[in-house]
Amino acid sequence: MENVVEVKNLTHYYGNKLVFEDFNFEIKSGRIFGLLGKNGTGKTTTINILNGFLKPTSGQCLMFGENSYKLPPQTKARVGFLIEGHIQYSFMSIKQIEKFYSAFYPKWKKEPYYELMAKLEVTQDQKLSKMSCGQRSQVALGLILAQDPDLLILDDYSMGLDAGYRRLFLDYLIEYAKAESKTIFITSHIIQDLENFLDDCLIIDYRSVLVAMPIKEFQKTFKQYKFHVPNPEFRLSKNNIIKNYEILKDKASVYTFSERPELEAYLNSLSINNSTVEEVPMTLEDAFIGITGKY
Amino acid sequence: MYSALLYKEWLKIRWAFFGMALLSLLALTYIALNLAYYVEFMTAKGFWGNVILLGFPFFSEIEYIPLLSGIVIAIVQFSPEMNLSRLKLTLHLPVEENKLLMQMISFGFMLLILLFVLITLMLWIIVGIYLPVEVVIFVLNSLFPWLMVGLTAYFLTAAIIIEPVWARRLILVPFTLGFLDLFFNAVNPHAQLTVFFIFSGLLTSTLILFSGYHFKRGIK
Amino acid sequence: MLVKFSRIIYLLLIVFVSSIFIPKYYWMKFEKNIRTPLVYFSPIKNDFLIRNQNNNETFYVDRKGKRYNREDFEILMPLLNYRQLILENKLPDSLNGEPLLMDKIRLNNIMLKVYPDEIDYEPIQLSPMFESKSGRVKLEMPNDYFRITKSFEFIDCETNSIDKKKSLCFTTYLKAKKFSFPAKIIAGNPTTKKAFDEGYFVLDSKNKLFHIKMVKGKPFCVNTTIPDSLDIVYMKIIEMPLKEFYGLVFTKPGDVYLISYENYKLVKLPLNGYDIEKDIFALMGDQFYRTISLIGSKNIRTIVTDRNYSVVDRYEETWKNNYDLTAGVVASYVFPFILKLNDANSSFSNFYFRLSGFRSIMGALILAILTYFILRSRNIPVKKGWFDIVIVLFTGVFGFIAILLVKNVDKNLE
Repeated sequence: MENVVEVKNLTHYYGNKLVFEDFNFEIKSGRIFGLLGKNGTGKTTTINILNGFLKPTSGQCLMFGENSYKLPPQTKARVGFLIEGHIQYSFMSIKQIEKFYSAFYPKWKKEPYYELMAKLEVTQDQKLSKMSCGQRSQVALGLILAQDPDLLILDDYSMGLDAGYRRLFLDYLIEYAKAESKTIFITSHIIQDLENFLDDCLIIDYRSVLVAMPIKEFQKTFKQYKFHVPNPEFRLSKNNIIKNYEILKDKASVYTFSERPELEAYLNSLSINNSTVEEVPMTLEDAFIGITGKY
Repeated sequence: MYSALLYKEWLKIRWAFFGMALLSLLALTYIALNLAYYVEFMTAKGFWGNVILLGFPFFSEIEYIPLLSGIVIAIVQFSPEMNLSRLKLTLHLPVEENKLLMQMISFGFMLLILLFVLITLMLWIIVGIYLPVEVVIFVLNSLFPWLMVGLTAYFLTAAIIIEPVWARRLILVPFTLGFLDLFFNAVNPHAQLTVFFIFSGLLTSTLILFSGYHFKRGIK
Repeated sequence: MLVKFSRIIYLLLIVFVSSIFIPKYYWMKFEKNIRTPLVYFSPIKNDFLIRNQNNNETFYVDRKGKRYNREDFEILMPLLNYRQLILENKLPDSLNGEPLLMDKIRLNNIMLKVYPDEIDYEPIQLSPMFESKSGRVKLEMPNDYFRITKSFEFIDCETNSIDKKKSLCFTTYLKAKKFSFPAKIIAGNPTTKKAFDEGYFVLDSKNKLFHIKMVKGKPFCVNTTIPDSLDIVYMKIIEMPLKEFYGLVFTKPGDVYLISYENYKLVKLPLNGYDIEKDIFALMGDQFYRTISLIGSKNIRTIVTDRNYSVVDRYEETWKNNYDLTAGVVASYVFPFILKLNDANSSFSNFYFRLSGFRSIMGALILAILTYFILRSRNIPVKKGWFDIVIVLFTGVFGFIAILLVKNVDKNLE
C-alpha cells in the first residue's frame, strides 16, 4: 500500500522549547489514522507542519510524496483540510462559500454539501458568522466532502461540538471513508467517539511517541491489571513492562503491553501476590488515559 | 479560479469600498460647494488671484482620503484573513501561495485605482468649471502624490496585517509612516521623483510576500 | 525567488527611509545656527563694513578688524539709515560733494535679493495683464488672466472662457512684432502693490526678449533686441520709480544683466563665479554705489561698483559651515550619504544626495565585516547572504539597520 503521508525524523522547537524530537510515522492509503494526545502535546503543530504552515526545525514531511511545505497546487487540491475550530470564511453565506470553493476543485460535488446543509435549520443566505458552532462545523465538513479529496486532515474536529454533532460528523466521515482509497487523518482529544472509527492510531505525549499501531492491536494488547499492594510504602516505576501505573491507598493499577505471565513474573519479583492480580476491561478512552496518564 | 478569489475579496471589501467612495463624494461635493462660495464672496477675479498667484489650497479636503481608503481597504480585506488564521484556508487553496497573495492584493489595487480615477475625474470636472486648465493641471499634480500615498499605504498596511509576528509588525510600522510622510512632504516633485514614487510605491506591493512567507513558515 | 525579492524591497525601503530620517533627526539635534555675515560699503569711509552676529550680539567690523556699534554703523552708512539719522538730526547735508536730500536718497536706494529657490521655481503659467496707463493712482486687478501658448489668450475669470476679441487683438499685434509663439519665460510683477506697471518681459520660442504691456486697452510690444545667445533662466522685474532698469536677467552660466530703461540696453554685472543653483544674489544700491553680494553656504563674495557698474572694490570672506564642524565630521564617518527630498535652494522636491566621501568608507567596511559575522551566527552561508553584505557596504549604517531588523529568515529563503 502506498504511503499518503510520511513523517521522517521530525524535530520541532518553539524557540528553546522542544515540542517533539525525531518523530516518525506514516499513513497508508485508505486508512483512518488518529493522532491522539492530550492538549499541548503537538497535535496541531504536527498538522501545521503537514500542511506547510510551519517549517520544522529539522526532518521532513511528505504528502503524496511531495515536500509538505512546497505542495504544488494539484496536490493541495487532493487534500481536504479542517482547521481546528472549524474555521471558515465567516463573512460568506452558505451559498456564497459553496460558489467560491467550487471554482477551485475540479472534482467538486455540491450535492453532499447541500444535503448536509438541508439538515441544518438555516437559510442558504445566512452568513456563517450568524451560525452556531455546531452548524458551522457542518458547513466546514460539507465543504470538505464536496471537495472530494483523497486525504482528509481534520484538526480536532470535536472542538466545541456536543455529542449529537460529533456523532453526525463521524457518520458522514464513515460514509466518505467507504469510498475507495480515501485516507483520513484525524486528531482529537475526545477518544470515546473514535473507538469504532479509527484504523491506526498514534498516541503521543510531551516529546515522545507512546503508541503507534493499528487500533485493534492496541486494544488487544494493551491491558490494565489491578492488585493489592503489600505495604503503604510500596512503589512502582515505569519500564518495558509497566507502561504506566497508579497507586491509590492499597490498590494499584498497572498498564502493560506484556502478556500476563510476563507481568506476573515481574510482579512476583517485587513480592506481589499473583492471586490478587486481575485484569480490568478497558474502553479505548480508558486505554488512552491509561497510557497517557491522567495528568 | 481568479474570479472566484476576487469574488471572495469583493465580499470583504465591498462595504468599505462603497463607504470610501461615498466619503470621497462628500469631500468632492464639499470642495465644489466651497468653490462656488469662494467665487461668490471673493469674486471670480479675487479667487483666481488667490489660487494662481498665492497658491490658495482650495482642495485640501481630499488630501487624506486616498490614504484612509488604502488603509481601510487593507484592513477589511486582510484582517479577516488573520483573524483565527483564516489565511490558512486561503493558502490551502490549490493555487501557488505567492500568486494567491499577489492576486488578492491586485484586487484591492484595482479597486483603489478605480476609486482614484473617479476622484481624479470628478476633481478635474469640478475645478475645470471655475478655473482654467493650468490650475486644473496644478491641482491634479498636487493630487497625484496623495493618490500614490493611498496605494502605498494599502500595500504596506496589507504587509503589516499579514505579518504574523507582532515585533515584525512594529518594525514595519515606523518605516511605513516615514515613507508615506515623504510623499506628503513632496511639493512640486520633479519628474524623476514622481517616477520614483510610482515605482517604489508599486514595489511595496511585494512586501506582502515576505509577510506571507513568515505566516506560511509559522515563523515566530 | 519572489520572497527573496520581496525581502530586498523591504531592505531598500528601510535604507531609503532611514537615510532621510536618521540624518534629519541627527541634524535637528546637532545643527548649529551659523549666521551669515552681511557686507556693506560705507560711502563715508569708502570701505566695507561687515555685520556679524555672535551670541545674539550684533556688531560691525571693517577689514582691519576694528569694531563698530550700531550708532557708529548708522553714521557710517547714512544713506541706508537716513530715516534714523534724520530723526536724530545727524544726517550730513552733503556727501562726496552731492547734497543729501531725503527724496533723492529714497529714490536711489535699492534693496533686492534673489534666492536660488526663486529661480528654481515654476509658477502657474497664468498672469494678469494690468492696464499700465489707467489714469488712476492705484493699479487694479484685471478681470482676466493671460497665457502665451500657440497664441496670446485672455481667460475671463467670470466665465472661465477665452476672451476671443482681446486675445486676437494681442496675438495679431505680437505676430506683427515678429513674436514667435509660444513663450518660454514670462516675467513680471503680478501685484497691484507696486508704484506703476511695466507689464511683462517675455522670452519667445526663438529666445528673443519682448517687452509686452497693455496701454489704454491696446497691446504694447517691443523687441528688446537683446542677443538670443543668452541662456536666460530667470528674470526679475521690479518697477522702481528710479527707472534706471526694468529688472535683472539671470543666465544659466551665472551672468546677471540689468535691462536698462535706455533702449533696453543690457548691462552686465561684473560678477565672478555666481552659482545660480546655490548662491543668494543680493543687490544694494544708493546714490553713489552698488553693492552686490553672492552668498553661499560658507562664503560671501561682494563687489562694490559705481553707478556705471565699474568695480570699485571687492571683499571675500569664508567661514565654516555645519559640515566642517565636529558634528559634520562625525556625520561624514557615520553616514555614507544623506538623502533629502526637499532642499532650501529649490522649490521642487527631488533627490538631494550628499555623499560623505572617503571617510564613510571605513565605517561601511567595518559594518560589512560585522554583517558577515552576523550572517555566520544566523547560519547563513555567504553564498546566500552576499546581498546583505553588499547592501551594508554601499549604504553603511542604513543598510546595517535594515539587515538587523529584517533577518534573512533562513538560508533556503525562496
